[in-house]
Amino acid sequence: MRRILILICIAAQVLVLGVMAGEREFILSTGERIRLRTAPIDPRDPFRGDFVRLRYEISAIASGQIRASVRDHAKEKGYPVYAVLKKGEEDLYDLDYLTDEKPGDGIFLRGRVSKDWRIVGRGSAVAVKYGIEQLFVEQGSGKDIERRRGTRDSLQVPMEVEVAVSSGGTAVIRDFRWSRLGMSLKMLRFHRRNRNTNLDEVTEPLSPMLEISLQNVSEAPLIVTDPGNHCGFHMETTARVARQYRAAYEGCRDIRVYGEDLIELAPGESYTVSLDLSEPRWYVIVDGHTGEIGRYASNDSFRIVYRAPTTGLAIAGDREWKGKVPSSAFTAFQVLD
Amino acid sequence: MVSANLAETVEAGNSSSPLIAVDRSSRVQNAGLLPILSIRMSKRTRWLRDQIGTWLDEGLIDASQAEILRARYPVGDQGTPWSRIIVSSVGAIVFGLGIILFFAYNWADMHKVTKLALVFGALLAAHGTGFYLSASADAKRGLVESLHVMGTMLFGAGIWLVAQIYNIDEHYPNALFVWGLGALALAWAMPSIAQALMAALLVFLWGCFEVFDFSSANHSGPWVVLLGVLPLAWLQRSRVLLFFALVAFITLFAFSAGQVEGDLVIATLFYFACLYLAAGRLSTRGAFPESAPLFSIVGYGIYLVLIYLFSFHEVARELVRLNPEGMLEWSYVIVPLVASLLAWLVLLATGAWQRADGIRRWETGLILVAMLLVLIAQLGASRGDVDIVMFVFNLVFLGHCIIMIVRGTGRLDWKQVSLGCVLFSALAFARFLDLFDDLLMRSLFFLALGAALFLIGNFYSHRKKLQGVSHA
Repeated sequence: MRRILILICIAAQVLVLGVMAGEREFILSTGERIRLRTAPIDPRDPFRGDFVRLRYEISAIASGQIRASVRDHAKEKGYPVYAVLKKGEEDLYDLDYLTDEKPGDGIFLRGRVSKDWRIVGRGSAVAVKYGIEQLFVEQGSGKDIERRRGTRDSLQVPMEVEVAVSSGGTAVIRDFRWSRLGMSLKMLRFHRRNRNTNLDEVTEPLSPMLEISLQNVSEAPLIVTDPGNHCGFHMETTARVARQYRAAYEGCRDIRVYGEDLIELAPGESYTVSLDLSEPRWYVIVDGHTGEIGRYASNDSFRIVYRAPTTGLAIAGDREWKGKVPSSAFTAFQVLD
Repeated sequence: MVSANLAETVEAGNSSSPLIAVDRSSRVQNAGLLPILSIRMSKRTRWLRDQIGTWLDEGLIDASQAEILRARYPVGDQGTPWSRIIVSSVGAIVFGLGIILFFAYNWADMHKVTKLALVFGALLAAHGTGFYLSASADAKRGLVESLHVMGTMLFGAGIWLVAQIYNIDEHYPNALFVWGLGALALAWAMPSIAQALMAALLVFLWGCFEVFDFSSANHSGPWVVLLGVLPLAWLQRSRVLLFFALVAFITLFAFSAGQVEGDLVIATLFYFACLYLAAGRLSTRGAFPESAPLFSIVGYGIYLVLIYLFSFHEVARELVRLNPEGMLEWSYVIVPLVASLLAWLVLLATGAWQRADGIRRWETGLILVAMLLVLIAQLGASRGDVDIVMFVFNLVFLGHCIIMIVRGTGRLDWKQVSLGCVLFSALAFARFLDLFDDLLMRSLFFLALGAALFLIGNFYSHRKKLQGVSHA
């Protein structure tokens, strides 16, 4: 009898591992395949070779995309949620909304609320983990991946992770690839201030001047588009920001793209622009005020997002970049990540 | 039973004659701090057996009496197989790490199927060999157990390796829990102390990570230890496992209580410490008397620290401020309270008071008074009563110091006298800082404290000298 009990216990241990592996294998072979954009951080674990810690764009969800029922549990670590996705450009999926009710159909990921203050700060955004935040790679290549991903002072190239998703929202990483377009951000000018600075007495520009570069990191030529007054670039708040911002500049609305707005980048070639955020082009509307971020948003964080405008022009092949690339986050006086 | 008998013999040996017979009632009385000494029973047994040889040579006892005594205090069965446990565990850990690092190094060269085959193959090989060897009549139990321990270590490594293969980044404390359950199941099935120790450690880590890394109370962790590990320790008469289980249970319960409501921690710890004290005294008359010192070590350790802390205004204020709001919060107070009250009622109902000598009665009375005080402070006192609560706990703590010094001096137990003096000094210093600002008062205080300690030391030496004369 005792020997039978021991056998049952051993079988149970084998079964646990079998279920873990079997469930993932089933998802890999039958699940829906999608791609998600990521930004890796903090590689290496001494006991498990190299791995890349992943943070997805859908890891930090702004309050505007959160269903009301989730907001009551936004600070409850481990609370189960579902990120409903929609297909975007460049074969990548973006977040549609976050809910705590399991959707009946469509593509969605099952996740749990986390308390990563680095992502959400003290605002009303929600940080979510989906169980796909680690990618194990060959020893030594973790550093290579980190190097290619870039740092706040260098070119940053987003990873695009392919995951298989089960009908219940469980995701399993299949593979990853690199975005064809990378972006770097430099702060050429900023106004240093402290708590006692009276902004009305400052004569120099309060908002920073940024140098943004788009670089073709693929093996083939790539076309980016920047019509009008740099209407290919947009300034967006990060998920940490609780206040609602709106662009004051109307000149990019319904802008038409002409042939001279198209910039063809050879492999390795860059397109660099300087954006002076103290100019009216970058004014924002917040809390009833209209002005530059240096005056009204000194503590909130933003990103410059390159989003390819719809050209309507016939361009052969897939040379035209149709997706979006976010820059490092920054405030009015420093770059954050 | 053997340990308790030995404890009394050792104590008796220190007083008048090494072979004075001590009756059962005096053994029960010694189940307070003194039985702590019996945790080093194996070392004492060896000493005793050396002495038996000396007594035989000196003609104090004859050969048949020596044989009876040697049979009564065997050496081999009492020691914990630490060398086997440590070597097996370290070997299993190193082996598991080796496999993990081997995977990491060969990550790109190994197909997923190869990795999985290695994980399952290693697990089955370790358990399978152990299972196969256990079937033979001359199987070495140590080897069989070590192989199964290695198997369970590989099971844990397998959980992380499968997670690595499929890039799973789930709620990692769950892996520790599942791993712990796997070890616990085998611990009962075999039965195996090593597996149970592993299970206790894993469940403890599971609870700690839930509380400290995820800020969520782990309600079930302490109960897994209490219901899954502690009974096995009792049935297997394993003092090592029992010690770990007692520490893990009270710690996990307190951690979870703190997560539910921070103020609950001190009440939870206090009532469970009192429960352990009662259990220690009850177990001296049970089937596993060697467990008594373990209950006493953990119970007294926590109890005395808390009583000392209650003598401070800040902690006494926290005690009075306790105000659980919901059922869950209340359960974290009620369960330890009821358990400790029941244990003390059972102890008193079984004649503990009648069997106790004067000092033991004072000690029991102080513990019961402390329990009553904590209960009143938590449920009946207002914030205005903090000073009174603090004052009474000062007296209770002082009472325990005096009891230790008096009992230690009476039994010529320098450890107990020293502990009593150290605690007394700690209390005196704490109040010195609170009460005296004037330099003259401070100097007088130090003089008084020094004189008191000098007198205690002198009295102890005098008693010891008299004891030596008596022996001669």
